[in-house]
Amino acid sequence: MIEFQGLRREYGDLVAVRDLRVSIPEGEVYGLLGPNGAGKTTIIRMACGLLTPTAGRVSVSGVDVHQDPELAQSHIGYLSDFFSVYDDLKVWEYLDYFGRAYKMRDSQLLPRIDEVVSQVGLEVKREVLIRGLSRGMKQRLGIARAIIHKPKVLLLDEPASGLDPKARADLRNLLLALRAEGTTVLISSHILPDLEGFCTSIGVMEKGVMVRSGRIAEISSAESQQFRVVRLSWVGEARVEERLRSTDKISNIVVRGSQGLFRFSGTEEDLAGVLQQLITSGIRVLAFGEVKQTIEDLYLKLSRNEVM
Amino acid sequence: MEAFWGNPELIRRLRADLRPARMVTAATVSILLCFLIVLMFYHPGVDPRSPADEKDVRLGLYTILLSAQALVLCLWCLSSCSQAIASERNLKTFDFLRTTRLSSWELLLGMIFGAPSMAYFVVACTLPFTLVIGLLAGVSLLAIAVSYVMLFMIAAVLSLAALTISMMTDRPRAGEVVLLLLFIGWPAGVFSVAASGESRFPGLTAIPAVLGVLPFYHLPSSPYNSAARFAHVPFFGVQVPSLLVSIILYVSAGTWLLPMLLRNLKKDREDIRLLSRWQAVGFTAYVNVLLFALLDLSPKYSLPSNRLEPASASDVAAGYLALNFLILYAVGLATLTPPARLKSWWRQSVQDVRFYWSEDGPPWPWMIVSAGAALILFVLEAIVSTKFIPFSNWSIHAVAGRLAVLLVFAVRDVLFLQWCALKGFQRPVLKGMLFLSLYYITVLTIAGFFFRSSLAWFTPSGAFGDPDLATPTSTLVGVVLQIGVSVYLLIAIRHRLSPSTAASAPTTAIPAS
Repeated sequence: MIEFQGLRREYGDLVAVRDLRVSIPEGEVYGLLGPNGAGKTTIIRMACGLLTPTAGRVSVSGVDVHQDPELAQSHIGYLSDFFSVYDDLKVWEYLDYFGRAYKMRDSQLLPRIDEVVSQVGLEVKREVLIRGLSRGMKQRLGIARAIIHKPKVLLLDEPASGLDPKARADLRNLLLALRAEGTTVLISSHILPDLEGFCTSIGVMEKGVMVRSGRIAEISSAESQQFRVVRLSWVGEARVEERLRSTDKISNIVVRGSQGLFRFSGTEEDLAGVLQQLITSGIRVLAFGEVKQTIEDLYLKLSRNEVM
Repeated sequence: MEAFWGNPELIRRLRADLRPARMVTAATVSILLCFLIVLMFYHPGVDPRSPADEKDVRLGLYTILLSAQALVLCLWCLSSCSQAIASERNLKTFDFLRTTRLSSWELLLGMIFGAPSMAYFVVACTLPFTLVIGLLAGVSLLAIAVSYVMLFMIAAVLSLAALTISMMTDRPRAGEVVLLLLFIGWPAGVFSVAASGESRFPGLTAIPAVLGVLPFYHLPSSPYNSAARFAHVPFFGVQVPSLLVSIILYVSAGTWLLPMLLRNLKKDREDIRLLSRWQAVGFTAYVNVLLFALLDLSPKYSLPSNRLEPASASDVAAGYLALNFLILYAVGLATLTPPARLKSWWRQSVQDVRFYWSEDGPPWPWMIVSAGAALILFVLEAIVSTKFIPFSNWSIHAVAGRLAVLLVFAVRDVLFLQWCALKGFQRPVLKGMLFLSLYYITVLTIAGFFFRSSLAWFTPSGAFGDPDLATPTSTLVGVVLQIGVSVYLLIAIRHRLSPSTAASAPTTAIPAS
């Protein structure tokens, strides 16, 4: 759906994006992670045709964004981090303008405006001048603008920047609904909890280089092959730490009261063996399981947190 | 017509600017002002006038109203269009327009007529006053119609110029100030020079368009009335109505501004290149032909000698050279290649010499083509001007040589600006121009005071044939020296085009499935 082929962008001496080769399949929600200055915005701006690459090409739905921009734009919805809206228009007029700008027919446009306005929860503000909306509402209107023409691909550059927690939750729900509809989303953020439970793939950028890219499950499982973090709890007094130390695949044991955490570098079979050992040694295990890695955990593992 | 009124950009601007409350306010204020102006001439304290005086008063009133409308419309168009793109860039809304399917043409049309929509509305509100008072003053409907057609044409061309400036700047107010100065100063300056008896370009009096419209008003003529004197101006040696020349000037200016806007309107600011390679050559030819058309080679009264003197080939050639130096600069600036495109071109090319002529290649080969086109036109113009100046007087070889000197200096400066763009300066062209200005001021000061003979080494003064400023030898030394500098700049550009290694090497990059 979105394909970056040897994409490169230079600003004078600085290489903002270096030879990016990534393919994002249809329906995927791809989180572009990295510190400020890692090249995320440059990638998104090149993906929607706003910035010409120094080398390489971007295609969306098989259309080269820079060779055939008008056709490519019909597939793309774009939202940037900090933006303004036309304050002197009413909410419906704003959406009507962009619907027309995307060459939607009148017959399609009016029902679509109503649909999108209700989707972003601005029904009561339909006839209101935009200057009267709050920041969060304007952000929702921005999303509504980006999806008015039902794009196959949504490119969102730090969409949650400057939003309060309620507005962020609303944005998240809206994006979840779009994901359910099958929209392919490329979203950049350095606020990682925003992407939790929402992204299906991630790419970690540093100094213009894609350090790691792939499905979260695959990356997580690849990382888990090196080690996994296990949490356990038990009932009563027990020498749990002593018992765990006797196993060579366990390290970094932390025990507090009747709870503990340890790092395990073995297979699932081996881990099952550890549980069995604990039980046979008389420890009354209450809970035993792998701690699921968050996007933040993965990012911190993969990233060196370097900026240009 | 449906495409015009259905234009989303136009609809958006009309909706935003012409809300009922605003329209009522604007209409009330403008009509009230018209009443006040009329009252100044017709208040109860005014003495009774004779019918002839009454007609003059009405004509005066008509002129005031029409002038006020012209001023409001032109200034409003300049102001609103000079902010149209730059302010959207500042608000970060322009990126959204660029990612829609709106074509450059649709955006352009919507901005040109939508941004100053309130000014058009105000003119429409006050139009009945001007119409009625004009008819009462005995002005024909044709004269009124011609005046308004010219006014709207000038407003449209000014809007195009303002939009072009707005497209190139990120400071909304900067373009406005530049345009305002140009709007007030330029036509007045050109008019005062062109209207003098010695001027070889009387056709430039058509720029303000007033003299072309006045004959429709059938005003009494007198030997001192410049309106009558410039009602007809020479164009390709034939006396034609000034109005026709005005139309040609404005339509052709608009025709050049249109492609500049259409090819760049949806581009990122740093990707803007006003003209394509062939358009640049066409622009050189157009300016040369247009100024030749306006050139009056007939004998003129010379003030010092107070007698009719024929046109001098050396003066015309010097003017031609100065003009083409400016054109070569303009062509070089308008065809500077954006760094990303030049780098992309460099990576694809190198082996094949044809690549030097490609659209994304360096601008200097096209400056040579433009200079060639200018020289060919000069020869043709010399051939068709034998009625006034014998062909042998033109010294074509000398003109060609001097043009080559100018070309060397213009290419050097444009190469420097191209290097500035690749260096990654912010506002590279502006900074580069400032560096060049500093260079020329320094060279002129040092050489002017201490080594006058070396002036031709560092400046194109040798091209103007003044023996006080340059000898053929010093001019030749200057050309060789500047070719050397240009080669050095080409090497520096080539170095910049080589892939950068500034960022760290990649670690692992696993493509998504």
